[in-house]
Amino acid sequence: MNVEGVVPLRTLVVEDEWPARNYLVELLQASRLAEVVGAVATTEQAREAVQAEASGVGIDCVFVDVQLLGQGRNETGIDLVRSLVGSAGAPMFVLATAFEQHALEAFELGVVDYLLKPFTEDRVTQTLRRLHERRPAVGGSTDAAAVHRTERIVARKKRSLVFLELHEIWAFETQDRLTSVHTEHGTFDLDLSLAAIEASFGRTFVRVHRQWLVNASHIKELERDGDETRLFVGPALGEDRKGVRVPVARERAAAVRNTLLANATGLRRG
Amino acid sequence: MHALHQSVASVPAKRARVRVSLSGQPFVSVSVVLFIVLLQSTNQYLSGAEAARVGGHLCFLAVELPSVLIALGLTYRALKRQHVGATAAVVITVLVAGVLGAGFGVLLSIVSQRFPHVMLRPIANFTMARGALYGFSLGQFHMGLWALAFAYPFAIDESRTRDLEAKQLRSAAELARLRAHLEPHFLLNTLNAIAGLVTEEPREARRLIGCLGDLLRDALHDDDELQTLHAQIAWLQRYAAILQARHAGSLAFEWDIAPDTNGVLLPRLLLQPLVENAVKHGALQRPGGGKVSVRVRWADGDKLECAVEDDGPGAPPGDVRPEAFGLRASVRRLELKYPGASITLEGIPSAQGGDTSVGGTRARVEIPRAALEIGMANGGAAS
Repeated sequence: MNVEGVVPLRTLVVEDEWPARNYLVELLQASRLAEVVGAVATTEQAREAVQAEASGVGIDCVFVDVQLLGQGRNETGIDLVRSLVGSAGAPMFVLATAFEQHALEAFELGVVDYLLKPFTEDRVTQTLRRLHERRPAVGGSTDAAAVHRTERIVARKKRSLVFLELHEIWAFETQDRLTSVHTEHGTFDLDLSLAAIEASFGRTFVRVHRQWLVNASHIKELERDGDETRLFVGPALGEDRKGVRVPVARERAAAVRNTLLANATGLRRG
Repeated sequence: MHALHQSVASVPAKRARVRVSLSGQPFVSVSVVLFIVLLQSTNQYLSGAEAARVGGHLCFLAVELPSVLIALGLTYRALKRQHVGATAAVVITVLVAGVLGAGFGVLLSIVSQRFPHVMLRPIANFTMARGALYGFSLGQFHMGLWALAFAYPFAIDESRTRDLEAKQLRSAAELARLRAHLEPHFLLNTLNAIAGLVTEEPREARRLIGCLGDLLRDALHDDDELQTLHAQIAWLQRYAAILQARHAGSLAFEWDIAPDTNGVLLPRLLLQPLVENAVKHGALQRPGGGKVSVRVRWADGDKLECAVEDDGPGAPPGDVRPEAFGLRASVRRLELKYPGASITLEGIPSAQGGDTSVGGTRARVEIPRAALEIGMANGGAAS
């Protein structure tokens, strides 16, 4: 996914509006200058994610919406920045805002940049370029380490966060804008659309259905029952097997079949 | 709301500045009048008139000219205050100048007859009748000068100022209207949401663009206009659709509108601030998302009741002043229009058997049916 020689910034998105959140994730991912490790809707989850990651994989930057309507708490994006910016190993903060004034106030708090709404590809790219320029000064020699960091994604179970490695994930499913992720540890909620996830991990995951995104390496079975095609996705074959059954959309069935067969015979194309 | 107060407040300041720029005007005008009058007297002298005539003329001028100018100034002000039409104003001005001039003419002729040794006869055979005619004609001449030097520049300046003010007021009012109902944050965030939906959900994106267009068009109308409740609810439903799309999964709406209230005429977008409050400070503050319900019905048969409820954390117990929730403008609009109408905000006691202590807030608008019927009769053409 990298642009030549550039290590993508590990990014957390904090945005309470569903379309805006997915849009930003897609734009960040498409820039190839950043990879999104999580997208959350509330300041509470954001704080948890930053604190958890500070001791682990590390988040390079956080995009925060200035107008977050904190569910339950009356807390804005600026409050979130204020509470986190001083701590050791704190990431760089970028404020997503409709007006520059907010950003100007926030600069005093230590926000490094801002992103105006409506977002565009150009604005996101410019912001990320500036962040990349700042990174050595802020992060020291983390670049070398960053290459070896594993890709993880932040999901949630009720109100606590879980960090999932990609190989643990079987599939993502979406229903009425609620996305869940099926893993060997159980099923968790995710505040992102399938399109945004696909933009992030398109190589590992296959979109087999409007509502399903499946980890290609966990597909164990391809069943055909008349017109219906279904997949079994899980860690192993066998009787008491764990995993999920996933429908394949009629118009995608042939493509999915071909991909699986091609991989199976070792004909994967780069 | 702040924006509204600021933009309206800035208009009187502008008016004050225009007045200051006019303050040099009287000196110029007086100089012009004196200059022309002296030129005319000089001309009289040069054309060979006797010293007695010129002296009498100047003597007359010294008394008559300032009196006529002051009298015309006062008349002009009085005419303006009474909103007298242009034709009547001209006739009255001519009469004032003529009568005053004639009066001074008669006075001068009496004085000149009493003291024949003093040279005070501007014209030959200075009888009272001829004095009146002489004074009348000079009065008219000075009235013309006055109109040219005082009234004309003032009228031009005033019409320019008025145009400017009207323009400022108009755009300030339009902007305030737009800001009051569709604040820039709402617009920009909605545009951002649409940009996000374009690739994956193009139909939804188009639907939102349609909704936003309708909202914009309607928000530009005059606030004083009346609107049927049906149209108001339709507007609110588009507004709600946009908010719902933006906060997918954490915001729901419920509408319960009694069909027999559809035709009622209400001030435009009266309920919008209530819905906005319920969403921002209510439903969206509830962990996991909340719901806003809008109910309209005839309560007790004699008043219209519009209630906007949310299931958020709830207002503090007891009565809450609507002003504290940024509803001052709504309260004011309602009070001005309907005697006996009210807006109340109250915490809803938490539901029995509910698993949370969350109660929510209810905003209620009540308007007596009697007051509404006036609105219906007046606004019949507005819909």
